[in-house]
Amino acid sequence: MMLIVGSAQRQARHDLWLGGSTAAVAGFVNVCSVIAFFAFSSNVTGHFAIFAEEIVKGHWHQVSVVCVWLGLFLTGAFLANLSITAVGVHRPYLGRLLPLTLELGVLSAIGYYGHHHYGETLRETEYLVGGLLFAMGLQNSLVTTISGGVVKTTHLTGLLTDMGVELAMFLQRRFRGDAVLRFKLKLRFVIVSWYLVGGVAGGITFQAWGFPAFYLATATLSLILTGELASVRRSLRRAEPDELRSTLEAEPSAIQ
Amino acid sequence: MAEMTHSASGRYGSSVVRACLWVPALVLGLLGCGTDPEHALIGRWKEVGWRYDKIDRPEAQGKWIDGIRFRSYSDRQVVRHEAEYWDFKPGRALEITHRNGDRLEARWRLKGRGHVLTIQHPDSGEFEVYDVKELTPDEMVLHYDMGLEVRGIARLEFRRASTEELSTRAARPSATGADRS
Repeated sequence: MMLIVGSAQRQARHDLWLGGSTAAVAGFVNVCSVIAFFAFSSNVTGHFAIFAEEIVKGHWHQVSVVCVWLGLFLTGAFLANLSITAVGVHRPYLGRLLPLTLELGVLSAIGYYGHHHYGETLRETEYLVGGLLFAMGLQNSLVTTISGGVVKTTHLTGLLTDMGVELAMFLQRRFRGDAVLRFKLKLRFVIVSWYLVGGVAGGITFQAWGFPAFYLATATLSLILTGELASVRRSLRRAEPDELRSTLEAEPSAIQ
Repeated sequence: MAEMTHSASGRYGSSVVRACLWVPALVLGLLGCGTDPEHALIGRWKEVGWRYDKIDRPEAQGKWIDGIRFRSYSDRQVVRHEAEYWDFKPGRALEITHRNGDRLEARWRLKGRGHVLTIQHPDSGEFEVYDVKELTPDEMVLHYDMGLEVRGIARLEFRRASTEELSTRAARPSATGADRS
């Protein structure tokens, strides 16, 4: 239910599950990308710094490649939100599950291509890294939109900043009892921990299996998708149409 | 008021559409301007120098040393080329010609955005990773990461081999084998 529950009826456990599972996938994919292609798949801040550096050096091929990568991350984020807010108006379940399905397809395709056809040319490397950035853009936008901006799984700079702020507040007695602050801190710890677990698992499995390691990430996403589809089916059997509408909330709330 | 809002959103929308058309066009233009690093790399390069940067040992700082020598770090196994010519061939084959005429066969790959050069030695399975710091038609600069145990960077400088050098080297007899430690 972590994907299909609207912001009005969301509970802490939904965001914790959503944050943990998708952070693990993000960490996994990022580490696999570094080992396979020597390029990060979700470090957009780093890519912007590289973009500026390559402009200064006048390396126009690299400038265009990094520009395309950033554009693909942006496109992924754009499409995920569009799916939830536009497709989701009439078909809410489809709108929420479509980005995840697309991400699953992209990661499976990269795993398959890498294993069977990858000739390690630079052009292939550039396309495959672009595909991974697109998938991470989709995922980040999906969880950000659904959780109303509470969960961001690939944005660890912001996450650690928030964590630092919240830890400083937590040290002071007047804030310590705040349930929202406690929940946010717990959520950040869950995301960071699962990102790390995913990263370590990605490193170990990629070293051992090579590109089929990506299938482990797609298996995790498939589990999430299957769970959500089962929830949808249960909801459709049990709930009245009006109840369903209120559970789902086709229009996600404004992002915090 | 509603008309004003409507016209403002229309202007905003058309700006977004215009940006969506211009940005890909700019990127395509840039793709045309830049040189593909793989094409730029292919050919014969003459190693003109090794230099240690940011190294722990102050006496070695900034010194030019002919050939890579790690004798002061005997506890660490490091690849030693002492090469003269690096010949990057289109089929990802690399031929490193040593000063004594020995030739070493390896496989090269460019990774990332063309900023990482990997060299794999099929015989030993050893894998070297270099950062491509500069790659122009005439000059190439590689950084060899010596790892965490030995802090420092080995900077390799190359220039494109001239036609005379190519013909001289081609005339020499070749021997197979590797001078590696």
